Amino acid sequence: MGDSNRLTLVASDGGKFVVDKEVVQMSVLLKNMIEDLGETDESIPIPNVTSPVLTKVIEFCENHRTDAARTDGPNVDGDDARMRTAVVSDWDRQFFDVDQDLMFEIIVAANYLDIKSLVDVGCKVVADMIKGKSPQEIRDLFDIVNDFSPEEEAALRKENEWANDR
Amino acid sequence: MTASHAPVVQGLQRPLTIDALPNELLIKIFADVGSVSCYGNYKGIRDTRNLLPAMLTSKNWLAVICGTPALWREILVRDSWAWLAACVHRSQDLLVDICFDSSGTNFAKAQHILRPHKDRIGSLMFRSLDCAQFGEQIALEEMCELKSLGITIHHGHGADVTMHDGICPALRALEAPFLETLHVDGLALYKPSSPFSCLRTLQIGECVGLRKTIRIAEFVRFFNDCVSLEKLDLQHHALDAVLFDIPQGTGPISAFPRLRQLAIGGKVEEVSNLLSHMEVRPDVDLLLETDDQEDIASAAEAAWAILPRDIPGCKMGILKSATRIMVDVPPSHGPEMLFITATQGMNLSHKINIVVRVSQERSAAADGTASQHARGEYFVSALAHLARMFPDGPVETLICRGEVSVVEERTWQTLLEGFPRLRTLVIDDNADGHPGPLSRALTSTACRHLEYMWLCNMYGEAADLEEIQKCVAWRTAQGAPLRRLRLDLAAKVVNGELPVVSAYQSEFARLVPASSLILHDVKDVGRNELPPREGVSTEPLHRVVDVLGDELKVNEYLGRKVILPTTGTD
Repeated sequence: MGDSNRLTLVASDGGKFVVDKEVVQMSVLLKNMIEDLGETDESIPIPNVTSPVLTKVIEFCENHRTDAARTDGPNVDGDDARMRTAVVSDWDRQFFDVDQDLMFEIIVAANYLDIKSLVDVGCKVVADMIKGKSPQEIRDLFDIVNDFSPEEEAALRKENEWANDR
Repeated sequence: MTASHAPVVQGLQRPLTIDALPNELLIKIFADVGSVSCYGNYKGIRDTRNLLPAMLTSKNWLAVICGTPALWREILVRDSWAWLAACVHRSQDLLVDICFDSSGTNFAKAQHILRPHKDRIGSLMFRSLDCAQFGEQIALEEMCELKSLGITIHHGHGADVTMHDGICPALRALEAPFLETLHVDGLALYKPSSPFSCLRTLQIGECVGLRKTIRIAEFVRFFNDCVSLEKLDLQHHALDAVLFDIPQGTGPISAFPRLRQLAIGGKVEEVSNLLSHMEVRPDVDLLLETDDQEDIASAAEAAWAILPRDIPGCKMGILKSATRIMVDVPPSHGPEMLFITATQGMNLSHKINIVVRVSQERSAAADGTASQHARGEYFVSALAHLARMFPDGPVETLICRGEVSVVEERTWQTLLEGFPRLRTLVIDDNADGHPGPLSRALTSTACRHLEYMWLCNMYGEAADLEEIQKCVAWRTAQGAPLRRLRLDLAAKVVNGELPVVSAYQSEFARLVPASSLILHDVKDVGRNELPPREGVSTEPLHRVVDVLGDELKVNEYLGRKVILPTTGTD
């Protein structure tokens, strides 16, 4: 019988990760699986997440393992919480300072594993990349194909130009 | 992998671009693209115009953004009516929060556009409406789902109120049965057609009229209809439209069964009258702030004059239940000259905080409202009236900071006799005070229960130390000994000599179980590089204020356990 406080996650490429259960339980999906399994030595496969992505996900969870206790206070709701969470911390920003491929894989993995705080931070980082940019700059940044015809684009611009009417 | 560990989600694709993200994540990203604005007391609202470049990026993004009503439910309107209409349309049937951000907003036109959607407006705010478009009143459509309303009217004409015939425009005929938050500024509030029984937060800002438009009895009855009110904030001049036509303490009384915070600012006599018509439980966090006092005499009396005249008969629970009081006349030239704060024990949400403001005109002059002479007057007056403000209260802790040099023995005596249960006394001098008068006042049967005394920043000449020693010895002999004594005094050379500190330290240690005496080079530390003197500490004097930091937070003052000893019951 191994350490009952730790368990092994197996990434889609076979990489194994031994982690604290407390850390892993930031994932609602894994938390439910652990509860269903009870005490077991069996490893848990994460078939949709590769080792590099799982490494990053575990790194995030370990760094934020005490966040739940910090934000469970009675005043964390409404506008206060919204204003506070509107800012991405330096650590989180550094965490997402990776290739776009990896960044989106982390966000999707977090969504799959149901790690709300990681999804929130990831989406905010992407949103911050979009803010203040023109449509063409956004396309260039994310390698998005402009599938509007020139006529469609002109019509859309005209349709929305009153947003800034003075 | 075992059979019991079958993957929960199948078929997850590895995304290489943002377009591979599922729509639920794209929507979350787009929601974050609308940045949050914060407008003081108003609810923050997203500026959905930030979505426009994203909409124009690709057909997929256009479809996701335009097809998600939740992205359009917070609408910030500058000057474009078409934008308002488009956002309202795209939000489909969701409840919307709308903020009109421009002073050029045409109120009637806004109402006209919103009329078809009035039953799905959850929050509505007008940040700065030009008063020129209003006469005596403002009427809003009935909005059955409205939960938050904020209206600020900008009066560019300043004190010239002839535009409104001398009447502050009033909000009338408001039908919003589920309204929870109401903030009006620059307009008066009349009784609505139906009671605000759900209202939890009410803030009334400045009124501008010269004529009174609502009687105090109506005003009080209006509050009685607000049975859910938790926070009431009547800012400066909010009472200007109220006619105080009945004597204090007569007529209706407002009871606030759920009130937690109450702030009232304004003319001293008007606040006093209003309070006499209110029942305020002791567990309410209460802030009273005077208008700017023009002269020293009125400012000196304002702290107690702002309370109801019949304090023993009034229904302000904290006045009779406070156990800790702080009087603070800070050595500054700001508009706030005097603070009196009282709490029930260490509970900072159960308190009264009285702030006396003075006019800044000539405040810094030698005889101005912020001069040292004036601050002395405020301190003496506060000490003289404190016991009347908190009659029969179980006060055990008293902290006073101010101009000790002008307080006579008789004033200290009056103060101490008013608080017979006092156990802790902290006196912090602003400058040049001596402990003699206080020591002599304590050489009496007043305050038999006094256990701890901390004197700070007064002079510590030999004569001063003698006075304190006599006082402590007398109390010990009378069976009312101090248990703790802390003296942080300023060193002063008299006739070329300093007191022999060690001798006094020994004597205090003999009389008091826990004592401390330190003389500090208060005025020289870090400035004149005086050579070290025997018995004098070159360490900065840790004044009561120093302990709390430069930014004195009065609301926190009494809560800092670091400055107050535990006296057993607090």
